[in-house]
Amino acid sequence: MNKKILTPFAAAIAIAACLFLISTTPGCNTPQRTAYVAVGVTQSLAVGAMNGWGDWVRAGRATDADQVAVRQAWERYQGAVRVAHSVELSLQTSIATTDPVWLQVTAAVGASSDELIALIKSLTSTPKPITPGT
Amino acid sequence: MPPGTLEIALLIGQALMKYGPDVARQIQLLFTKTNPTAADWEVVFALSEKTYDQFVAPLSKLP
Repeated sequence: MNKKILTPFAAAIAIAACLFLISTTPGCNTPQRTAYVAVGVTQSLAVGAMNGWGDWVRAGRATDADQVAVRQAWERYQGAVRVAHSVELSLQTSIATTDPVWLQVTAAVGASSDELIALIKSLTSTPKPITPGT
Repeated sequence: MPPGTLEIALLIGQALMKYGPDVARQIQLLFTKTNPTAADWEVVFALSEKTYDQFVAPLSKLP
């Protein structure tokens, strides 16, 4: 389970690496593509962490309190993504990775993703006894 | 080899080890889109439409 979860630091490094790689790839460094990959990598990592959390819950290793905390973090993340989606729809092809509104909403997505991944990491790093039937 | 190819491969390899093949494949696909369309954006945003209960549902109830 723990191997499925990147630390927030590693996730931030991965996103920064994506931005760097895209910006240094000749002919491919459009603002739209940079924004697309940045959001896509964040989404993939958050969903990957949640898939791992699902395995953890199915294994009976999560308490009710743990599940409430992760549910709330996931819903906060979804809220941030919905805002980013609406901004992306309004900007469309004029999207720019330096646009202040876009920067603000993607920062919120990144922060809520970091929070979610850090929470799941902390809850799954301490071994807990398996409770059958959960 | 185009610049950045090795680094992208390493990033995807890291995702493969940490999260598994599905996430690594998703990230790899992101890099193949040189000019993302509205449909590509929809696919990316749709990733987080799954509810918490769908993530933790028993395997027998998964689609």
